[in-house]
Amino acid sequence: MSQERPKPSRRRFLQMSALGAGVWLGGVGSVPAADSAVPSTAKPKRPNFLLIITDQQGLDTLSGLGNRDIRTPNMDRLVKSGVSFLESHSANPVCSPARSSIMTGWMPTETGVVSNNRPIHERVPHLGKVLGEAGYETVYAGKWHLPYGYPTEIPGFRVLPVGGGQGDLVDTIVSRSCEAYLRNRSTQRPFFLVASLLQPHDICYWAIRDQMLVPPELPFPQLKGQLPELPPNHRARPKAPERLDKIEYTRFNEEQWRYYNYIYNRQVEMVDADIGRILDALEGTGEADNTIVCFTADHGDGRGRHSHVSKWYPYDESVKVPMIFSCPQRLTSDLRDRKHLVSGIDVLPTLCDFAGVKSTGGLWGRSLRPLLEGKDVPWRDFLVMENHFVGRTVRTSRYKYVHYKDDPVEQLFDMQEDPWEIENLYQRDDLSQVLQEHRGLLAEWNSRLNVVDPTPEVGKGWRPPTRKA
Amino acid sequence: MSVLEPRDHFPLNAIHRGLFDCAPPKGAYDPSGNWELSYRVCTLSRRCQEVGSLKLTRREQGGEFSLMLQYDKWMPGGYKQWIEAKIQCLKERLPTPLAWSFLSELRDPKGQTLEGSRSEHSHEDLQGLPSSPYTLHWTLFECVPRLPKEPFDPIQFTLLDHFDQVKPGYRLGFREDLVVALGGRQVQAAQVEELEKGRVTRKVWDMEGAVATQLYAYDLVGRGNVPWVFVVDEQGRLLYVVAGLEAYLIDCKEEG
Repeated sequence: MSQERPKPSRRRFLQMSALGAGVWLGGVGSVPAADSAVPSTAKPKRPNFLLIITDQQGLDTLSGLGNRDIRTPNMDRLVKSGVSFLESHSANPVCSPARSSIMTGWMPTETGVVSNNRPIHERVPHLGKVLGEAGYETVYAGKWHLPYGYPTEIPGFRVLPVGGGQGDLVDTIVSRSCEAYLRNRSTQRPFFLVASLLQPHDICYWAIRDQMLVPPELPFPQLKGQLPELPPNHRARPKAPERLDKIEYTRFNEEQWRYYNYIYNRQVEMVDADIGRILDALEGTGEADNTIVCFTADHGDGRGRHSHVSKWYPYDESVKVPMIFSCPQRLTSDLRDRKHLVSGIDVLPTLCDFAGVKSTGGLWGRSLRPLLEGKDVPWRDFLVMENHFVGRTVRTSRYKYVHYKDDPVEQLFDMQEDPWEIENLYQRDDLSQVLQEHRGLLAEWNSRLNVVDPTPEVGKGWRPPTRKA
Repeated sequence: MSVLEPRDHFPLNAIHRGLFDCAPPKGAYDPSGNWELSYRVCTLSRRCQEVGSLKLTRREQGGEFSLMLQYDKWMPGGYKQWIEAKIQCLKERLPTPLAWSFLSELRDPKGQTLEGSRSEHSHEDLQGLPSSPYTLHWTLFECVPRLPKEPFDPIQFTLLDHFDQVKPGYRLGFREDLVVALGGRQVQAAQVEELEKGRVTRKVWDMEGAVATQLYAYDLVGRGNVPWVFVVDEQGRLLYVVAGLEAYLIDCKEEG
């Protein structure tokens, strides 16, 4: 099922952007202070929010959205009960930048978090502060990474200590902590609970420590018939800007690639179980009907597409992430929205909208609420993602355009005809007008950003505590 | 059978740094009897880094046995996650859990329970037990050491992962027997290689005083988990469990 809507003109979109989303058009200094957030009195009972974030999970990893190699019954519960956006993109497909956008509604160049281990710019409020000052009980469990991975204190949140380590060890604690919180919480105030789970991020180590974890011969021969097939763009290397072109993972043979993807799929299933535990606990509270669940991820993983592992780059395997909202009593159910371009920057405006709080997000984020309620509204014509500090990706309904600063090689993909991004069309004469239009969109986006200097890179990697700790 | 260095064997290569200066327990041991074993819980992303502990206690009770579990995961600042569970099982090749109680909570550096952090479950909370054979995540630690030390048809079952997540389609089978040098002391050695460009000397970590130890390995595969490998000694004492970046290494200070 897809939503078909009349396509608004870009001028109309800009009007709607400026007027409809409670946006801010000034400099950073005029960001509304969090204490200026005004709770609405329109709704007698404000909804709770459960924001579930996974790490390194691509959009196409849910069985409920068609993946036959993975079984995700709990994510599928959300698919069935909610709205799944199939054109959902990370604002910048790296952990900290993407998370900064989810939590603030601003692009990473506006939060100062242009790479990992940086804090959010002090002038940019995040969801914990905004909803906390609006009367919500704000609770955080799991990975934060702004700048520290697993801090024991986050201003604006009560933090459930869960330690750190990799997903296989920490996610169970995150889901157990969320379960305990939901079961034991006071019911006096609405809650905003963030369950930030780490899997399938563990897959990073299957590439980093490949000699340890991915031997040349399949280490579990009984899996031979169960390894997923490689994607059609596995060996595709379309012409690319230098910074992107030089990234290629060459240490795996075909069977190793397939084993890598097998492991990745299992890690998605592991985090699915943790999500199931949290959803079960929510249902046990009697609050599920009044709780809006938002499930998303910071970015995807290469999974052998374009010979890539990991993230950072503008291809879909890296930038497309789940974005599902569920609350059957309030929102449309079982809807796959293939039409609307959405991004991590839309999370804060959406939650603020439902909470009756003025959005403190940036110019480009939009509240998804009308879409979630089945309303026909004009929507954005394009989105921009950031990559590799100097790369920018423009996505329109049909095309993807990639530009890296000072690099003469650009990319243009026809996402309808070439969804695997195999053929770079940027030098095709018949598409020169399309190319120009996309360059113009990017210039327009950039001209309306409120870029700040990158915040200092201070977060160090998590180190396991010792027995003495 | 040649003697393997842990670093040359999958998946012992992932934990080989945790095996230095740590001779596994020896002596008589009956996996079907009463026993108590302690493990170091390790994460393998960087090195074999200890991040918690696990203690398992088995008690025979006629045609049944009980398995008690105490697990703590350390956190920065002295906090910890504490899990304790008691499981009552039928004494079968694949132990069917009859009843269990489970408690998880967060504790502060003084050992006090953090308010609102406690979560308790029992078998009564699980709706609709599977019709196929099933067992729990942790009862595999009891089950594997009693399996034959030779190839057999894999056991197919449903895993009740972490007590509450039902994951069908698991296969537990014999993987291999192997002899591994264990219990050695870590020393730094010089490795000399004659290359075209000349003689190259590298410093490598080596093991001194290790003892050849007969081991048996079993593997577990199924949806919802990365593959697990269980490693058992000649007496049937479970020494190591390796599952991707997660590992359990028997505590060298403990005698079974």
